[in-house]
Amino acid sequence: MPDIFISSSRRRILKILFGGSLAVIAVPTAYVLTNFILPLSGKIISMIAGNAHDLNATSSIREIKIGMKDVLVMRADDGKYSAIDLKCSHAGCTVHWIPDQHIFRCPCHGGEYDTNGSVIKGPPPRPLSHLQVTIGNNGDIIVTDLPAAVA
Amino acid sequence: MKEPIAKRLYQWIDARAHISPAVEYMKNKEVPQHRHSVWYYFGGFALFLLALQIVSGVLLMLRYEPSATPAADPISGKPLCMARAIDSVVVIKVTDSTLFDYSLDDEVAFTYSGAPESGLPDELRGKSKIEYVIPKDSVMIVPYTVSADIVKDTSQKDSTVMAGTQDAGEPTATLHQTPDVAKVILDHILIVRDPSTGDIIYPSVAYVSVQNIMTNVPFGSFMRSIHAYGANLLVACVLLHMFSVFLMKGYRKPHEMLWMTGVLLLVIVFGFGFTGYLLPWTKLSYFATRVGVGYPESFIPGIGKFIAGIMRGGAEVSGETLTRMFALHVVVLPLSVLLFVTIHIALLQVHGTGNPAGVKQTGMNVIAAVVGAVSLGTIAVYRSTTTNFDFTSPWFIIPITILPVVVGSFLGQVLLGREKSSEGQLLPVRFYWNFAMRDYIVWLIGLALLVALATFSPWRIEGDSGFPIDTTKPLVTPIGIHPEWYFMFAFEFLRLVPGEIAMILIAAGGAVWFVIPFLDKNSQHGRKSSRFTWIGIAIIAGFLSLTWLSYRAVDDEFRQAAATSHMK
Repeated sequence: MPDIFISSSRRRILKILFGGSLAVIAVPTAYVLTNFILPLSGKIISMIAGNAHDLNATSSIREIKIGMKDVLVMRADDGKYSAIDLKCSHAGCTVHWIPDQHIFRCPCHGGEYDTNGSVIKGPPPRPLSHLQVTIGNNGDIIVTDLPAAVA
Repeated sequence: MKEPIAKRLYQWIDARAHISPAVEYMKNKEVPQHRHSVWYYFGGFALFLLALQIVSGVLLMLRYEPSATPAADPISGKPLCMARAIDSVVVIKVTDSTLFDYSLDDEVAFTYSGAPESGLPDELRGKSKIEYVIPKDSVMIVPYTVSADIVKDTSQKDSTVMAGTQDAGEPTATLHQTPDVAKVILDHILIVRDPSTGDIIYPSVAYVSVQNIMTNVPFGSFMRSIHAYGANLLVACVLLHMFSVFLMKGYRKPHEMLWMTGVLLLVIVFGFGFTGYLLPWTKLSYFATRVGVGYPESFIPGIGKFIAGIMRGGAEVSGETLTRMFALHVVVLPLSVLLFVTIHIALLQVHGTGNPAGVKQTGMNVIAAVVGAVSLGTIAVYRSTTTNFDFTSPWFIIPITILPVVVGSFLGQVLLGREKSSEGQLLPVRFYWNFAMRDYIVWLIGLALLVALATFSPWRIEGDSGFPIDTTKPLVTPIGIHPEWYFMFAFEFLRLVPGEIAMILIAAGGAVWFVIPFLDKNSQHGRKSSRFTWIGIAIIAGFLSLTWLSYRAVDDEFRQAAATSHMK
């Protein structure tokens, strides 16, 4: 069977062309694939959790859903509002608010947080996160899905 | 000095799995060169396209939701409907904190005509940046919210529904715009109604997920177009491969099993096309599936109804059908295709590609090159003129990509020549890595073609057929509905020949096609078989004519429908 031999310099050029073309294709392909697969970053969600007048009168606590997050909106005695993300920092379970003891308790591993979200006891490594709360001109309590510093 | 790691790895595996006899055997694989050897690229190209379909398909599966239930906005829970912008709207974000009427970072919406900036009040010019625009006539999917006080619904076919906010006290969810922006937008959109029935259209979860892929997901439109165009290219490639193998008698001994697995693969690829078509859950999908399943039901006596029932998951095409077709498309058919492609390629490695009987190992296919170049050029020019030289049309992109390849490869062979033996016979080309590299170039060109199509001409279903289907509403079959081009020959055949006879003929034809290797006695004995060459040419001509006739019939449908509507 006759063999066709390519000179070594031509072979090198062919190898470079092959490898080079693969690289040229691989880079945009990786870019496309990565961008396609990554979760979509949605727009920042703002929700009206009620009105300051309602929250004053009836109860000082309201639980809302903002996007996919369970958030507790609380009015402290000094009138300041906070919005606390109920996702436990340990493994992600939604914590319960225990009104009698004024704590958050996580049913999964027994972690406990105070009204500010700081860890009292148990395995959680970090405090509960806060979301931004602003009061509109007409008293609307507006919760925005952005991190807020704890007062 | 130790040997390179690749070689040591090979030796390690070989000592345990004995792969070296096979590998050594494969090193000698050759591809014969002759007048018709250009067709040898299509098998490998089909394999490449299959891999591309699998990759793009898996990616699409990460975003597609196979459910026919009407879609709802995940935040507000309101049903989603189709709306069209009747005015252009621009949404800006205020970038200046010193304005009187506006605060920094406020989002405000304005209507405009002409340039988006023309809709802004003077005080905001230069002090805001454009977040996005909604051009007039663009279609969107919006939550359908209605408040009893402010519904304004006239009894005309095109009616405006103003969306109101929810009852006071409940949280209002605004996913993509602030309430003020939402109010402006909702004032300037018209709920789209089905052109045939006038109903409000509630698209399915499947349809909305596809629209999400096309509009929201980064490179979603690109990936979907690659998959859709890729499917068509794969079928075309498989047909070219099959017919070229037929004409070259590639089914003769010892390749009979190659042919038979190949016919099975053709059926599987058609199955992919049929099942995949339903998934966007548009009118086109629905009715194509209805017809496709309806034929066996009507015309296969006895078990026809039973088979149709299993395919549909019921007596009618419904969400059940979508679920089944999805399972077929992403699990059953892929497993089958992988199994049979492996057998098909393994069998090929054993015997290699043979020389067609009676074809000399000389010459170039001058006629094919000229015919190919001329027809591609004609398509490019003719179709361009009819689309006002729309250079982004697939009718232009496809010929303009293939034409240089045909001309270039032909000229390359003329100018550079091909290796010949001392007697002037064209030498076979070693597969590794000579022919493999040529295969690679064909694959690159195919990929370039698909990328060009996906970029310049994203996949779109035009007109009424592209509307989402809502099976809870009365359905009107779109005029001129027809399957994809590769089913059109069967579509026309079933139109021309009465039902039961057609089914029998199709089954018989398929069976004959499957056992062709055993019918062509001449080829079995390695002799030239011109009769079967003519049979092959006749079959190809029949396929092309039936396809052409069926498109003419579709045009007739449109003409007839237009005529009757004028007579009213």
